[in-house]
Amino acid sequence: MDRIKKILITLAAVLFTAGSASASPTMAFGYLANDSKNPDYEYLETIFPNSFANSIKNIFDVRVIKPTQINQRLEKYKIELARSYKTYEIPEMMEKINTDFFIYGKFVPLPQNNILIVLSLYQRGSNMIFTFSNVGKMESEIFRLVDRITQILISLLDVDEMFKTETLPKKSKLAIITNLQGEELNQLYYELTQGGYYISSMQGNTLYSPVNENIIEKFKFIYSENNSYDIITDKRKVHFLHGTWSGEPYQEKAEKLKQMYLHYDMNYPETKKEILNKMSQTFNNTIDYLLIVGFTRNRKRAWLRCINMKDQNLMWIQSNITGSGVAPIGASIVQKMGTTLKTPFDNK
Amino acid sequence: MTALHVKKTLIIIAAVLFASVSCSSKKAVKYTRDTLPPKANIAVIIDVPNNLKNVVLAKFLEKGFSVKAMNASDMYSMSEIFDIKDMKRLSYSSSADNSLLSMEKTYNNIYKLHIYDFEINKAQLLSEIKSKWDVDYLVLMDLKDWKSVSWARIINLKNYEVMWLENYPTGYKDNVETIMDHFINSMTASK
Repeated sequence: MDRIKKILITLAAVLFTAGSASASPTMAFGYLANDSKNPDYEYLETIFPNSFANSIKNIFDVRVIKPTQINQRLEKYKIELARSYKTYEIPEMMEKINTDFFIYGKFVPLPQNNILIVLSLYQRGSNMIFTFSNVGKMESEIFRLVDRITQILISLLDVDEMFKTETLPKKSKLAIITNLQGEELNQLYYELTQGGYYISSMQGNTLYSPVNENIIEKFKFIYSENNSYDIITDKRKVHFLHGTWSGEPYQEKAEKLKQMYLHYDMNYPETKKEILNKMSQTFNNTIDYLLIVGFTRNRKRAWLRCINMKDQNLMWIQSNITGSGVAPIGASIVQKMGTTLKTPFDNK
Repeated sequence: MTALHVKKTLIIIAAVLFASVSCSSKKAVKYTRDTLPPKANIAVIIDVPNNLKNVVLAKFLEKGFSVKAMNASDMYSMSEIFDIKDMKRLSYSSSADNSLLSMEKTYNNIYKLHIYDFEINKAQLLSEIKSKWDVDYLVLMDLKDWKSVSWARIINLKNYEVMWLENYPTGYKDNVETIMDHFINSMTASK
């Protein structure tokens, strides 16, 4: 993660420092695959990535690589840019096109002239992929939609690594999972209540918590249906060798391992959906948001993830929240709850 | 300015900074959404020796509360959390390809699901406590010595919500009784 942070900080510094073209990061834009069965929309597969590339290029000093240019780079490998990729194919492809970031996705026209755009962002060498979706009007607001999505990309690449789809209304009830306990947990709760939020008893119903600095780090990666920040899984590398030579105990062990990977990795979205549903029901559907906050050991820095429990979607990601301790960081979180993404387009 | 003066000034600045940091980390905070009603049915969770536990119990009874349950330590069994380290060892020693990228994701997901499960199990237990023992409020307390911060929190079991909390920096003259008096007054005082 340190490596990712370093690259992001470098990128952010470069983005906000116009004129230092020599250090500009490169962002490659792949196709946005037409996920409908209507071939009339295929022209958008290239128009969208070109628009995103131009939009980012107009604001920040980045080198953008459009689909046609990616194809030029891939020529020497005698392959072409595909319409879509499995996530595990991306790292290999990135080595070939040699850029810092790769952005690709798909779109689906929706009823009433709306369009759903799903975009994935991969940073070279990170093995993490961030995916988000956005809905907008097809014709009249198409440029606004492009601007909005570009804005999401820019915020995500900023030092705060922020992604946010909605504000958290006052009087919402928050369930919190964090690596704090006792007095420190009270401090965090206090700051959130001062912001006008109510606190679910989750985790706060024990004197001691099993969630320490190591365990909370596991929660950094979150999958949800519309938006996710997750580790790339390479299914091709999973082998469960068996044959006539393997006895019953071996088969049983292999079967258990297979089930483990199916349950906790390949079919994890279903598994997670089940458990979040169960969680909502157990708490009598009173939780509005599940807030996961990870503090560093010295409590000077924190990150957060937030899931809207009504639709179970990841709606807020933020890193590098700094302060002199739990209380100021808590106050900073409250202040950010009511804010939305920055709008650099307004200042153009 | 001599080197000695500079040194003195730096020491004073450092002391002031240290003091301010210490103060901020021991800040008293109090939040009241609802006060604890008189004669409420409560369960108390506190981790202290038995003699002190008696003092805590006596203080609540003295104020007219019905203490339905009291645990010397946390009432939830931590042993029910599966030891994932064992799973990790098992997986690594398996015939599966150790370099597979999905391994990290699988471990992370197992950890996360067990924490989610743990929270669900606790909420279910609280619901059971409420219905079987007629407990309406869960009071969690941690009483600390001078220079540390004593804290307490009340969960309303009707809606699983934190309805009152306080961090109280323990004073030089405080003892278990005075801290308990302070907390009980605070949790019953109107907003």
